[in-house]
Amino acid sequence: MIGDTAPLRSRWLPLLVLCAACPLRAQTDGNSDAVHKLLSDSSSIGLPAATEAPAFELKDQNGRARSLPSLAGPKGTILVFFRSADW
Amino acid sequence: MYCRGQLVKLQNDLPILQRAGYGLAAISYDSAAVLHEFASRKNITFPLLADHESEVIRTFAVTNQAYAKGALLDVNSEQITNALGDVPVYGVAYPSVFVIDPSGKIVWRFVSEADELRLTGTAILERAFSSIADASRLQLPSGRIQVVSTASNTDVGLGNRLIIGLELKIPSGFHIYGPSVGHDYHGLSWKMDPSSCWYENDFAYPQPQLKQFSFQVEELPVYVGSLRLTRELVLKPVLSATQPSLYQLFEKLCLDKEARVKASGRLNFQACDDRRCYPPQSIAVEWKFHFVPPDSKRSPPELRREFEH
Repeated sequence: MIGDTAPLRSRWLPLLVLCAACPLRAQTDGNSDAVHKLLSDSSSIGLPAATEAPAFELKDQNGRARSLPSLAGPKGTILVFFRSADW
Repeated sequence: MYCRGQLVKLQNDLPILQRAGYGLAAISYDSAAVLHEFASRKNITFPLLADHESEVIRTFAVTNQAYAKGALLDVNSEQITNALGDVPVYGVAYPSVFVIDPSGKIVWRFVSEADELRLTGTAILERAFSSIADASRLQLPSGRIQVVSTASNTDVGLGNRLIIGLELKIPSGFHIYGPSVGHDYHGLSWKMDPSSCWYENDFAYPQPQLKQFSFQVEELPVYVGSLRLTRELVLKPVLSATQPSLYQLFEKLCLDKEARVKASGRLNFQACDDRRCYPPQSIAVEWKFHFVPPDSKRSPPELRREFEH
């Protein structure tokens, strides 16, 4: 009897682990189209490449006014829009 | 929450971006006071720009249109934590990246409607310019063909978009067959193991060249010299207002004892010279990233955005 339990457990364990992962998998797995869409560039939103970047002047975290030329390195600027540093 | 993680990763990548010749700045609808408090807390040295009226966000056409005036963040549909409280979100930007050349022209852009998913700095360089800025390189034991595994980052947070790569050095006089070579040969293949922890983006092999061999009527697709394969991995953004247990499950299933997330797969190929082919090889490939837990600390209440009236 005791000898029987070990193989039984080892047979069931992978199944248990598999089911434990289900909620994580369910997020968008299984449908590669959905994943593809989720990860793609939303090309209809935002200024397209090859257009002129609009000029701007904004205050940075230290209250200093910054414009695009003041941010650029020799090859240019990487400008990242993010949602919020608060929430 | 995902933003704070992205900004910290950008700060980590800042020396690489600067060495590559780029200035870095990040814009949001936050006030300068919110940005100052966050930058001080996390030692952010690159400019965080306060577009409190969302004017620049609007001129770059990246305003999140889902939020009308007076709208509050819907934490359930956004799938982020309920602990946030009410957040006014009118005028908030979609996570996006613009690379602007010194003449002021936009040369590359990426806008994501998936609010939780964010590019790291090195992944921006890789995606925009195929510029190799690997944070880690590891030589794999692989015989005649030298194989190095690479990654754009050494650590990862929820929703981070990373690039992993494999570099093959094929010695002079040797070739390996392309993936489309057919069943008579062992073509190159790189497959990742299924994982509940990552999203995996589409992957394409570089175009092989066609070569004529004396033993075959048709030309065959081959790679010679150096070859670099890359693909994108995205750590699932598992913070969920409707399923708070998802994060615990993620910690249990995706993190090892040293709080690292693993991604693994196999690289298969066969090295040949003009006279003979050597036994096909199947190499286990693996990447491990230190996990950076989400930063759930909000700005002090007195600095937070006021509700529109």
